[in-house]
Amino acid sequence: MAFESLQIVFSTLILICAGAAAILGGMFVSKLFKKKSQGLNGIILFTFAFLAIGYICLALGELTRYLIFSVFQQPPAVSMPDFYWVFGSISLLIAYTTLAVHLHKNHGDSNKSILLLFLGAVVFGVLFFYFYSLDFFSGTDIGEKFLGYFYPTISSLVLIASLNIYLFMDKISTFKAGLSFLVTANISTLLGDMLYNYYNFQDFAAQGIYGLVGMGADIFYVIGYSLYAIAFLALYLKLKELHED
Amino acid sequence: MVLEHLFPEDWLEYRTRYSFILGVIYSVIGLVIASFLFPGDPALVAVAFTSMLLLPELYKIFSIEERQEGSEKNFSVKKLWMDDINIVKTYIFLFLGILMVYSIATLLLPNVQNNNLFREQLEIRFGQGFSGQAVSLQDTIGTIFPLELFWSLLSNNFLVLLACFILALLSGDGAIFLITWNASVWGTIFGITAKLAGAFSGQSIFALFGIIMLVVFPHMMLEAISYFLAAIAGSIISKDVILEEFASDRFWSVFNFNLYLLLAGLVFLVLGAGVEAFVLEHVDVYREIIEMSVNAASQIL
Repeated sequence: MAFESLQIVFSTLILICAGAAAILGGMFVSKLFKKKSQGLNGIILFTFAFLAIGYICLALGELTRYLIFSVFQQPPAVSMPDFYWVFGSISLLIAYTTLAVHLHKNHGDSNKSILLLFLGAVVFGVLFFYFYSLDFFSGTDIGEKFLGYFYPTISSLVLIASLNIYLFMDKISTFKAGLSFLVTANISTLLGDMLYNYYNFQDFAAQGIYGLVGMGADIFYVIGYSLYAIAFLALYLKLKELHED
Repeated sequence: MVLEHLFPEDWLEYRTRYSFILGVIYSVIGLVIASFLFPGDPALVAVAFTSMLLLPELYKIFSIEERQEGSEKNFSVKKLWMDDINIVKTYIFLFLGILMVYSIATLLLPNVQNNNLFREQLEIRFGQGFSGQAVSLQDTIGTIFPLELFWSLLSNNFLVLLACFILALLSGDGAIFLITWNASVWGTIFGITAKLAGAFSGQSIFALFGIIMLVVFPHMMLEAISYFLAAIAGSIISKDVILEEFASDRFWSVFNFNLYLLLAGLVFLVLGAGVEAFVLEHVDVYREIIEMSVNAASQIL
């Protein structure tokens, strides 16, 4: 019961942090496009535009979920928030993949590719173990099953693509700090997705049980969205600093 | 008109976000004038006044646009998009401004006043009249993708798109009337649905309105953008015929640019109908809110 009273607090925190990430992301991309004429790389613009679209969609999903939760007093099963989250996750994957391809094309070598393959195998190994050991998809409908596999899988793909930022850290000069925050945030989001999935498909949500699992998922989401917001703030300040120089 | 001289000539072209304010101000003025001059049936007159006030602004930006497109040497999709992006943004913000005024007015005004002020818009809710169907209430439970609903939405919206294109082609900027009309219909219906559902369930009408907007926003914007693109294509072709020498190279290049724009409008239309059909099929919350509002309406009647 103590956990249940915290659910609305964490929902509000998630909404605030997601909103901050979306607003700061939008501000950063808007500033980036204003500097477009000063010879900024098109790939960089494309990547950050899709990142901003992705985080705006995630924030809209959180807002929809929050409103539905506050009006109907229970979190929606498969509904409109998922539409925004699916679209947002795909935008993020496109953004990070584009950046990864760009980095490998310009600075790639076989050692880094092998290391990335190894890291990818580790992430997918953990994911496979997670799907295999927790049989929580029996009895759910096709939409729930699809999303149950979709969210952890796409978050893993986003994480693997974003790990290239760490691999090529020495080659990224300008936006190093901001981008490294984004990678850490992606780890937190993946953990949040895995816990949320467990929470949602064990029928905890339907029974109105929040508990440690639900709260754990929300804590990871709060950390993730806060780090996205900090990342975009760092990127924005860096861009402003460059502009003043 | 006096109002248009309050803003510099290229104000909307380069400060697209301000068109939201313009949409808000002009639709409030339109509503106030119409309710004073035609208190018996102000709904369509208000839309006409708002469109009339917007016409000079649009005329200015379309003339600038036609001159820019005429000076393009080679065709590319990127150039086409870059040329038209500001006009699309202007339309989007104008549309959102008008939609917001009609929604808030519906939410805040008493029912009796709503029934009079927005009579024509409210009739659309019961299947009468001509409007884009971002507000379809058809029941289609039980399929992954409701193909029948998709075709029904697409065919209705295609007629609206065609009307926008033809109106713009014949009258230059006349499609703004249909765009304003659509914004007013959608704003009124979303507002009244939230208001009735709130009265039925005792929930906050603003929270319900927020949910409705978040549910309809993706397909509403896709559908609206398709109408904007058709209107822009029609308007610029219309000005092209007047300003350029007929069948000259420049004439054909501008003409081709805008046919591609119309094609892009069709793509947006198909996407919008697809998203709407999917959302109506799978978002139970939206159906629940509509049911609450229908129940409240039947209690009132």
